[in-house]
Amino acid sequence: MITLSQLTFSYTEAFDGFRLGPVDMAMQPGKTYGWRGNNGSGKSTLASILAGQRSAATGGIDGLPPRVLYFQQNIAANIFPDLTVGEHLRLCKTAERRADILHVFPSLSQFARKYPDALSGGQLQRLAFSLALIRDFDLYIFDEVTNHLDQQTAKLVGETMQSLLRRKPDCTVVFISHDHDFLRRYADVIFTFDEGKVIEESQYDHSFT
Amino acid sequence: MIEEIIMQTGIYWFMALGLWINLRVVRYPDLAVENVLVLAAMSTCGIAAAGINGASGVVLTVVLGVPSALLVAGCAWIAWKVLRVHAIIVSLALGYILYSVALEAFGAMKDGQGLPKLRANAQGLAIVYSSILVICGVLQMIRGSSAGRHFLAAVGNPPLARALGMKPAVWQWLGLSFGTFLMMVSGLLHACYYTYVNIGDAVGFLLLGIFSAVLVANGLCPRIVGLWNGLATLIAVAAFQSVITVAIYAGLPINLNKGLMGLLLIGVVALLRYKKVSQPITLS
Repeated sequence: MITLSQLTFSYTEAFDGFRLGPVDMAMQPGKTYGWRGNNGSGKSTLASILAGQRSAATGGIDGLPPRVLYFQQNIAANIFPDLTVGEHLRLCKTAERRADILHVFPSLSQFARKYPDALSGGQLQRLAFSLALIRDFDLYIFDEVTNHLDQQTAKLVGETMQSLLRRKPDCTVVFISHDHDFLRRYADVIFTFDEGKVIEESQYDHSFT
Repeated sequence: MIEEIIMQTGIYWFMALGLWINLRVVRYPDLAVENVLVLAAMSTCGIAAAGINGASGVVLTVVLGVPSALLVAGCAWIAWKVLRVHAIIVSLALGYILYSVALEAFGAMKDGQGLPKLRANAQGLAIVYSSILVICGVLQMIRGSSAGRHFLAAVGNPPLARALGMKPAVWQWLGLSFGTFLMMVSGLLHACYYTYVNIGDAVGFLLLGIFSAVLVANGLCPRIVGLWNGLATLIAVAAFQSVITVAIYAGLPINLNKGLMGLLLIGVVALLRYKKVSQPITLS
């Protein structure tokens, strides 16, 4: 279990001096978590701390697994600019894994020879999401993964992660999103952020859906 | 004049491509380049002075260039990534150290006594351009291989590559080594062509000129490795050398020419695709 206790972080005044926390949170393996809240409420900052990009000022994180995938809002951070779409997929260690990805997003094969800078927003988002599937991770953090995706593709993303959790129940998935319907559909627990703090925790039971 | 342009283009092609690869790895121009050239040239001359003359000495220098490049790039990488020194400072310091090492080891050699003479004739051009073809072939092989994909991934987005289980540090080091090795080959050819070893006299001007050609090559072909990148570099260096050589024949001082041409070509770059290529991909 990943446990955050009294975790804080502050930006310098040059970055508006925003202060995160103190945050207390517990996330269990095998579950999907949704983080929601207004812009600037601290969701992405907390995600970057879990991903090791920033260090917390105070407080601690227990049980943080070694293999963390952080899918960032800035799409350029989630792709390789010098590789074609096909070469991205060939980073998979096995052909089976590549076939699995193409099964989820068959359209990727249509622009296999294209470089990322020639792709549309939706195509880029699909390519970036597919990279999350090329190997196994213990913690997946998806920050606005459904941006630029149509409803059908967003549904595919949610269902793919649900399916992955069924196959690999020791991993944890976090969706950061403003799309409350998406979170309610796929998250087991939703944390609501406001001004750097978690102000609400809601449980959702999907066992009958 | 035409033969001179073609020969010099070939010699500086290695330097430009090495600069280009190192630029993509560390994101800053490698200011140590001229001293890498000096070290390679002095090493060749030192080997010749030790009695291994001619082609054997050149081959030995190239062979020794591989571990030297790995060592130089390794030191640069450690300073840049482990000690967190800015890449510009690293390249300046490394350039100073390399030049000091070359002077300490070989003395203030200026003449290329004992070096095989590379002439701008059919034989000389065949040597240089067959070497270019070999390097282009190697680049193309790398581009299509798993190693090439890992290298491009590690250089293009190191944090993501690390998250996906690759080892960006190793690929960055190998990339820097390859770039440094190409610069060493350029230094070796330079020494054999000009029969003048201590080429650090024109510090800055050469770098400015060739680096501007690198930017033009980047505009023509933004991808880091591959046959097309090699050809784009050749075209850009040829353009640079043509203008320089014509200006020299017209009687302008050589270093002034290089500086002016560098600035001119940077202007060209602004009109080419460099700006577009260098922009990060955003969805806003």
